[in-house]
Amino acid sequence: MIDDPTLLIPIDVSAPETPPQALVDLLEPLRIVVLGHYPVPDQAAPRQIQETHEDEAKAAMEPIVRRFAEQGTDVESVLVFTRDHVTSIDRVANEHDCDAVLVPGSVGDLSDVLVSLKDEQNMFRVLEVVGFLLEETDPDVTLFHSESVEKGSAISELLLRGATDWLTERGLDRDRITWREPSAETQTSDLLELAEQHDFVITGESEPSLAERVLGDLPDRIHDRTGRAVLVVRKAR
Amino acid sequence: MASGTETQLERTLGFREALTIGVGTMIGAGIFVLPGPAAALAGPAAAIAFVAAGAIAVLTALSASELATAMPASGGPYHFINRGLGPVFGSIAGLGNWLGLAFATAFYAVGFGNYVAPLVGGVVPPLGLGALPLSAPQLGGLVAAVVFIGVNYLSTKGTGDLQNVIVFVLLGILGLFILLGVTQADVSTLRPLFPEGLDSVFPATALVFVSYLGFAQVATVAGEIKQPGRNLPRAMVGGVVLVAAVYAVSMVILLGVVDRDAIAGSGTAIADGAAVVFGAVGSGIVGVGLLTFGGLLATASSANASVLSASRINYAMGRDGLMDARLSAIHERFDTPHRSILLTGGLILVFIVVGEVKSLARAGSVLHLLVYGLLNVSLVVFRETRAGGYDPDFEVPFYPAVPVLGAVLSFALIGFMELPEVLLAAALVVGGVVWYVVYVRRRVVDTSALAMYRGSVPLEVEVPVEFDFDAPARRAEEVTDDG
Repeated sequence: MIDDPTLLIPIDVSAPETPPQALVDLLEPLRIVVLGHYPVPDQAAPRQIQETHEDEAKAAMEPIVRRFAEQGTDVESVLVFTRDHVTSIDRVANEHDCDAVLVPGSVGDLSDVLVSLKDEQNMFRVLEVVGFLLEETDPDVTLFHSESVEKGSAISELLLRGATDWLTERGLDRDRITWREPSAETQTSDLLELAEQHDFVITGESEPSLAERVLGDLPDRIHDRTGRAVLVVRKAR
Repeated sequence: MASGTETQLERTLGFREALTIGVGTMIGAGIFVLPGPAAALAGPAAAIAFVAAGAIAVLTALSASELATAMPASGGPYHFINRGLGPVFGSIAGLGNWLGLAFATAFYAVGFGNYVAPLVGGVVPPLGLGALPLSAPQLGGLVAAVVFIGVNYLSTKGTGDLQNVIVFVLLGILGLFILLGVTQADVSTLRPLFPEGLDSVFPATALVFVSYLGFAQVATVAGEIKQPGRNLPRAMVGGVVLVAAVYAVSMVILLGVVDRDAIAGSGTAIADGAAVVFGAVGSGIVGVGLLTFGGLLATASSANASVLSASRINYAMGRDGLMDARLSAIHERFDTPHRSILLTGGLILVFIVVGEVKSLARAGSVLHLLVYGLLNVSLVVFRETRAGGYDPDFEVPFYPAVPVLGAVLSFALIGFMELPEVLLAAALVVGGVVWYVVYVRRRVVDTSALAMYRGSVPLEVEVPVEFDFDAPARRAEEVTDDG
């Protein structure tokens, strides 16, 4: 069970984008680690780049961290100058016991959230994060089970009903929750289409995830296709 | 295919175009200038020397193909070594590559002078430069070199299409020589095959290796080649094989039609051969004319191309911080790396004055052998360290045999050079290290595959950050403070 869910928000401070206020509001119940990462080119040492760009990087991080802090969120900041931001994100996520990682993006007016429930190990963790985020706020929730092999699969339906009950017990209004089953052949593209119709996506760490990469590539694909922010709940470490 | 950031250029070169570039940079000077000196060293076995040198070049060509499809950036062999082994070896390779090309250019220019001398013989009185007496070929070479340096200083354009024409003209002339000669060559004159002993093949190989310099030029346009994983190695290896075949067959025919002693040491031996070959069909003078024309064309185009190649290496070293970037600055009006061309040109002129043709050829060879040996080592390093991002489209077959053999043979061939050239190679290594210590070390961080593997390059550095607005209560104050 997650007691004090922690979210890592990586920001490329060489080209910073401030997260939208609606997202900042939504994420308020979580403990947040803002990770500023600054790229180090091939022929340079991280120290060199740090010397020349540290002030610039901090200045870029400050307003973003400030937003969360002003919201009353418990926020920590980490700045790295790195040759490989994926590896750095993974390391910092581990060191700070982060339960989830955000792929920053747009969220529209944040009126609905897509929750992709994929593998069973991770499912409660995803639901818990959803619970934390949506208890106090009012977006609609669409549950999606991408593992069902056939449309109308009983397991898939029971699972989605169970998840709905779980969230209802957690205090969410049942009317806010709907669910979709994918058709057999087009699971991923269905997810991508659904993602386009929603403002924000919450998903589990994708499988198979590359050995050292935190997110796997599905969240990135969702983000690339839709521009939406994606929150990826990591497996228990 | 690697990432899309590697090149902004369109992939427009097919296999044939790539092959032409490869053949164009190789064909010519070697066969027009070196048969005489090579025959003097090894007799008919000089043909074997051409094949042996070609075989060593093929090994390196395979390695260079793999490296070029993994990192197609300007700079060729120097770049691969710098990225693989770091700035110490990068300094050695850069200087070696650069000076090697300058020596080779001097060699081509004197070779050109060899062909010019008989044409203007008697017209120009013997001259000396101060205390240094200059031979007619040297004088011709100096004049030619000044012209090539000037041409390159003024423009880099317009040589591409011409180069293609030159390649086909040269192949045509040599093809005609081979066709006519093959019926006349007297195989019995090729006996004994090894008049100077079996060992003589090695120094001859070392001497003629200079004929293959430039196959790696194809690597510098890797980013523009279509399907590089397939076309690049085929163009590079195919170019070396084609050129080696033309050289070896021409050599055999030459010694089949003329007496070895008559051409030994001659800088225009192939023209002497042509006199006989074409004479048999009643037009010896045409043959001499054709081959002399070929010799002029070949040496001129090789010299012209290497002036520019040498300045490209200055540019790449400047980009990587191994040399002052001002050296490779582009002239605002002529659009050429004028300073680099002047410096390289100055060296070329000095080399022409102080060197004679064989020692210039060997100096060009020895420095390139050093570079090619390191290039093969670099490939092994990339493979063994599983360097991040190293993902070549083409992989050398029979790894690790090919690069290991390529490195060992390249270095071993240095041992068959004359003492001055061996010392030159040693001096270059020392010079590269000194250059690194006095200039490069302060400016460049070693981020090569080797340094990454040794862990001496940190992946990242984490900086503590503490912003001063932890509590919402605090915010109110700050807002008022800010006004």
